[in-house]
Amino acid sequence: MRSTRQTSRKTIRFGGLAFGASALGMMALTATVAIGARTIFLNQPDEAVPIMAGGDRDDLPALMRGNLPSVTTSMVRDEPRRERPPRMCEMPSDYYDRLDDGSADAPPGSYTKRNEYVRPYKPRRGFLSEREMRAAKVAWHYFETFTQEETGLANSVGSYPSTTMWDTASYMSGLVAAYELCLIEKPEFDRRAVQLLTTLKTLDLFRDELPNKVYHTRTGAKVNYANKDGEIGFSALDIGRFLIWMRIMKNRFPYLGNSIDSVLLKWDFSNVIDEEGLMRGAYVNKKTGDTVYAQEGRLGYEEYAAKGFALWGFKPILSHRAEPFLTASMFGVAVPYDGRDPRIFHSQNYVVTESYLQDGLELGFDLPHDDTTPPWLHSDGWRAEFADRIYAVQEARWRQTGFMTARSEHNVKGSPYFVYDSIFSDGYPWNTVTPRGDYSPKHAAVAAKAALGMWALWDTEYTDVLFDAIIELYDPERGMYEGLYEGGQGRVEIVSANNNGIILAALLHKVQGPILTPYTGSTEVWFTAYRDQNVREKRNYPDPPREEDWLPALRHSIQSEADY
Amino acid sequence: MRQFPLSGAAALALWAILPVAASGQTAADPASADGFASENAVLDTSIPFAIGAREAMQELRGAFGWPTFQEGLVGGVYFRFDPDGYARFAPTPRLDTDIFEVVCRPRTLSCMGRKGPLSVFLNGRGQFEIKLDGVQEGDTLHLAEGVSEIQLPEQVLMPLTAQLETLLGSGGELVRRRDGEEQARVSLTGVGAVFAYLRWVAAKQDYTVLPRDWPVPNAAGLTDAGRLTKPQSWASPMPQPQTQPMLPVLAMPTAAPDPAGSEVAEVRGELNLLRELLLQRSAEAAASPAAPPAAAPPAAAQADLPSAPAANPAAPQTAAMLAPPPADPAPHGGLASLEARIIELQRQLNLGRMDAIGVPLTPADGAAEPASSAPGDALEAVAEEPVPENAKMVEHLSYLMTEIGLDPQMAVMLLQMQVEGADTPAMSGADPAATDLTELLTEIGIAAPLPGTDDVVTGEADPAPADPAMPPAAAVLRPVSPAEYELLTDYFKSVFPPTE
Repeated sequence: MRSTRQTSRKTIRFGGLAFGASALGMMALTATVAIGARTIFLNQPDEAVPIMAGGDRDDLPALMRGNLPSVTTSMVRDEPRRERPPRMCEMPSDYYDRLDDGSADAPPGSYTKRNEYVRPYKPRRGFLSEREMRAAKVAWHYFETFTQEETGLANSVGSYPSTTMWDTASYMSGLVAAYELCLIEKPEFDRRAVQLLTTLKTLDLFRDELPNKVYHTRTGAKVNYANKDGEIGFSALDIGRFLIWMRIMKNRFPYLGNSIDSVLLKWDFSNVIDEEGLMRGAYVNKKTGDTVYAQEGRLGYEEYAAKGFALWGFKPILSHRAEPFLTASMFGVAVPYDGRDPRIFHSQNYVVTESYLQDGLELGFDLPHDDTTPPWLHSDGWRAEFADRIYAVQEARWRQTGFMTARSEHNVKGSPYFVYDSIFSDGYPWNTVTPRGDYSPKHAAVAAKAALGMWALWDTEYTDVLFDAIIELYDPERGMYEGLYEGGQGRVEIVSANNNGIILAALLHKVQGPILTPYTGSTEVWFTAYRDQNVREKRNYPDPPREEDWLPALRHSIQSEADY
Repeated sequence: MRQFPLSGAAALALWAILPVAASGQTAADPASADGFASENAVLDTSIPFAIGAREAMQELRGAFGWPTFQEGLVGGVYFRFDPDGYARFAPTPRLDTDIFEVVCRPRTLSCMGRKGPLSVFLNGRGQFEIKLDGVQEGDTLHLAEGVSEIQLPEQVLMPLTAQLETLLGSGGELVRRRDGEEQARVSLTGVGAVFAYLRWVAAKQDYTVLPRDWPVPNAAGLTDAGRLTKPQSWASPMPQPQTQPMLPVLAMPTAAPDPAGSEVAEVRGELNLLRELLLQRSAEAAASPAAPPAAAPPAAAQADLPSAPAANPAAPQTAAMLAPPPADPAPHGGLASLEARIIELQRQLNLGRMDAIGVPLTPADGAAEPASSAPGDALEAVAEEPVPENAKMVEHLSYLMTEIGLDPQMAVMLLQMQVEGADTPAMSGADPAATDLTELLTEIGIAAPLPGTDDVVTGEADPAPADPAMPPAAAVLRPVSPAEYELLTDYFKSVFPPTE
């Protein structure tokens, strides 16, 4: 049977024609689309933003002109900056109820991924009590009594008319605290601040570089350690601390910025930090009279001062590193100390509380570029962790021996006039040594500044005891005394700028938290001045720091159990 | 029961110093810390107190203080001191245990060391005094070293003698007992170093006052206060050996100085040279044809030769030389007489020199020939002259030392030999006959070129017998064999020991 279904058979010719027609159609379609697209593209408005010299997209030239703000964490991470807290007398009564203590946000005693550290201890926060307020007034009275009217400089020790940059920073600490604690008002604050800055600008520098170690407070002349006309050298540690307080004042009181910048723009930083980022002090060779530059600072003070330089754009990379450091086991606590052998380097590696306190009170154990982390999170993590060890070993001594312990450097009455009342030094624990290295245990004392600083940063039962021990150690006419002798010889009846300045800073920390507040402006004269000359290069003035210039956030192993 | 009284001066000094010691570390007011001014520094810390000590910089954080200090190790103890004199001594580098502390009165060199109840200071006479707190009448002090213990005399609390200072400085422990029961015990470790330090400070860091008995070069011109070692000007109360100049001969047995040997050699060489010169000249004179014998010198001139008693022995000889020469009748008398004159002058000079230097007129070894039997009148007259022996010896000694250049030892030896020769009968000069000039000349080897003895000198024979008519001086001349020229060498060999 023959199928009725028939399929039409196409010829090869038909196939070729069909293919050709299809290809032609595709080409026509493509051309039509392309022409249409081109027409559409060409009809679009011009939205390209030209890079203007000095504009936002012109990073490098702007950096060269210094008219860029320093890069901070708030800019990089797009996080809100910390805010400057109000003065105590301007705080609402519920101010502290709204504070974020961060207790539920992070495990205590650990590092974050960014090597930030969460301390297991809490600082004290709140309004000052009556006793605390009285201590603040007495401490400020020291500066009222011993500030020289001629220069605006405050004496380092009582009526002795001499001071250092370190102690001048202590005066600035007291001045800021007095204003923020409402002990003085703005006219008084401004009068003192401007007079001080004016004097600082006119100081005769050590060989046209940096401030001499010591100045006469009545005349403002550079002097030697006998307060006679002369020059000694400069101290990188003193200048580092001074720079911290210059930054604090500038950030808190922007209207003082030009005056502050003009002081620093007179200085020559070409020798104080070397190419590796190591801080160097200077002294005079006794025989030749030449200037000798030598590394300065040991673990504790060195990192603290380094951050002062970093706040102004310098890069003290090596000085900010903890290495080389070792630990000494004391009451089960691994106490970190500088690993540079004092027998070789002829420099004592004393461990005292003060430098850690100042880091915590003033900088919140944060890195210089950090303007965002809350008070309970410390971006310079290892500094906070080391500070906790320094506290822990002193509390452990008290608990295991009964000795109240708050060790720091302090003045004493009579020779040797000054001791490093150390936790560890030169291979010995609880080593009280004179500046030349003599063991002098009879000068061991509970230092008032250390006790109150620990009280502010560690809210514990032990610091309550310390507070009770020292808070009434004062002369109402002269200020807070240096401390209480450990051996029962009574009070250390010396009053000093450093002790009273730190006490005021500790009380201010209780009220406001970390004292350094973020800079709220954009660029600074400090970064833009002398761009038309070679002064910046000659004096090693830095450019506004970029992210790559930040000091690194590091961590060290955490002591997880007691080490005996 | 022993008592330990304190001297008044010591008590006064302690009274003056103790307030400083008691308050030095605690009572000074930092507000008046002008004490760090350079004018208040009594010590320069760059001057090392001991070998290996170094100056270092204080690690000052504050606004005042001493910028430097010095540290080191001395006498087994470590030390550090400041420019104001404050120092610590301890057996450990940390200066933490068994500390001896030294404090000074401000701006003075008056310092006191203190360790526990023990105090030590330097009194105005440069003696140490110690004070021990709590000492009462009847207490005894002992020096303990391990298990052994010696009792100290009561003078230990008075100005210390050198013996007691050394004893205490040797270390140990100072024990105070009452009725045999120990009341206090103080380590004396470092007290020796403190003694040295206190003296060093009192002496204004003089480099002659150092610990451990260091040598003291050039210590002249220093004050006596605070000296540990004494310069030569120090007058010791103890009997001291006299330091008056001693005769060199007394030191002969120990050692003869080397320069003496060289000087002897020089003298010997000069004499030999002179002898050769004279021999050469005499030979030339002998070679002269028909040279008549030179006329004998005047008797008076010859008579003056051996005596030379005057203060200036050359004076009479000079007078003789200046005397007009005798007439020379011989042909060629001009040159020959001149030569003869020169030789005569040379001979007289040598004779005078030999006399002046006290060369014995007979050989020292006693091997001289028998005394001549022809002394001559002149010699007798000379012998009879009163000669002050002491003055002569002084003259001789002066001449030997100044003109000849002999060292004192050698000059005195020659004089002694002369004296001994005079005392010895065999070599006696007391007999004028024994002082034969010819023998002397022969001994010294310069006697040959005498006028009229040419043949003898040249060794040529026929020695003519002495003419009785000849003048006395010429009569003493006799032939001299060439072998006798060696006598001078032998003589000096006998006098001077070999220098090698």
